[in-house]
Amino acid sequence: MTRDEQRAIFVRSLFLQACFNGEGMQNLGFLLGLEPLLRRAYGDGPAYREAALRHLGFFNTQPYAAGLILGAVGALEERRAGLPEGDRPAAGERIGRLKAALGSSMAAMGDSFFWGALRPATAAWSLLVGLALWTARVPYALAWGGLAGLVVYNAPALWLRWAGPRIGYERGEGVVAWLAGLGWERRAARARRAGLAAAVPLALVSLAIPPLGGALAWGNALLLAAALGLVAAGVRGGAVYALACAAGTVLAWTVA
Amino acid sequence: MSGWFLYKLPALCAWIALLELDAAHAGQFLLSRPLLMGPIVGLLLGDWKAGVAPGALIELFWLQGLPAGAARTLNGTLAAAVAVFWSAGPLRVPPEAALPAALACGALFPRIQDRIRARRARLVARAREAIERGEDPDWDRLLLTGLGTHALAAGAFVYASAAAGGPLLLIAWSAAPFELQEGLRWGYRAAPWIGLAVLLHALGRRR
Repeated sequence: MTRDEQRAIFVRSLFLQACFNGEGMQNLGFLLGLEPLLRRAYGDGPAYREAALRHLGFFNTQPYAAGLILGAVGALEERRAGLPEGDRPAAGERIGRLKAALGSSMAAMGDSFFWGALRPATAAWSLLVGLALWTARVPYALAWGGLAGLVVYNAPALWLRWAGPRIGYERGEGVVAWLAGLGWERRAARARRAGLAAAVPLALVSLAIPPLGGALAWGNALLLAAALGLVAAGVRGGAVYALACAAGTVLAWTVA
Repeated sequence: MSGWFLYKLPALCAWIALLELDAAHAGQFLLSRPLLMGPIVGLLLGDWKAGVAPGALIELFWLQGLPAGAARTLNGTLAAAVAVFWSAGPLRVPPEAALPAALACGALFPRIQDRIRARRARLVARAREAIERGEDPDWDRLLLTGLGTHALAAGAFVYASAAAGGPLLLIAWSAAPFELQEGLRWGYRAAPWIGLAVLLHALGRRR
């Protein structure tokens, strides 16, 4: 894969969900990203058109991991282009099955790591860093906290989006084994633990210092514990908030 | 006041609509997260600090939602923008009223988004027809249509919420019984702890 092709796929992959639709989901964005490699494999003509139409089928995955699939599928299409005409239909079906399998496995991995672990961890650290800098009277403290969170989150995300096409292209079907070897679940657990390392002090500090904490510390600790219990039981944060408002209304009505 | 509704508010809504594309349609660099969107909208209104609390609270409430394309959760970006418009804009809606109403707005937008997504099947058909004719799809136009429709809808939604929803909310707030107002104040005081609970749970679970 040339540097230009990698750059083109990287930029195009940023718009994977630009035309997200209910039927094909990321199909149009996937074809947009794959186009440079399809051109490389088939040039112009009926073979390219057949491959492009094939890749307008249903596709959905975690956006940051899409580059890996684009690269892997691109490599397989290139291999397919070198096959005799009679072998191509079966190869095309095989590529479709692999694409679907990669899509769902990458979705699980990506959602678990990026959305489920890294995103809340960076939120916790952004808030803690911002609060610490604000306490130290650093100008634009909260902005620095936000910036720190953005950098920490986007570093692995951008790395995967940039390097993914090349890694997928070089490894082809082997990209599944490569991914499994990275230990995403372990990394996600580590990211969550790192986030807890910020969230717990954040909670304790918030309980201790005004304007949230201070004199009302015990009452607020009770609130936090109750909310945590409800959330752990599966109640969404918005629903817990609605419950709190309802409880406050009943309390006010009772006292009045 | 008319200058606000005719010029300033549409311009602000246009910025928000562009930033909101980052949530699920282009980039996804987390620039559209409520934690950032709140202070950004506050800054555009002249007081960035006013956007911190609503942004942080909605960010924490929204942590349980997946910004994956197919997921249909509350739109935290637009909820944060609307919350800050109401509480820090000219109307000065009390934050304890602005927050729940903004969350309700954020929950409403995905229904509009579903309709936009259903209509995008036409874009796929256009691309298919072009390829079958032996031509390249007009990618620039397809992307512009895909992104532009969503941005237009988001911008119009925020404008309608800020311009019409805000005054209605103020009227509803002043007409609300004292007990309901107290309940919402109590809920607002509890909100940071609920947000922290969501954060702790998101990080503390095994998988």
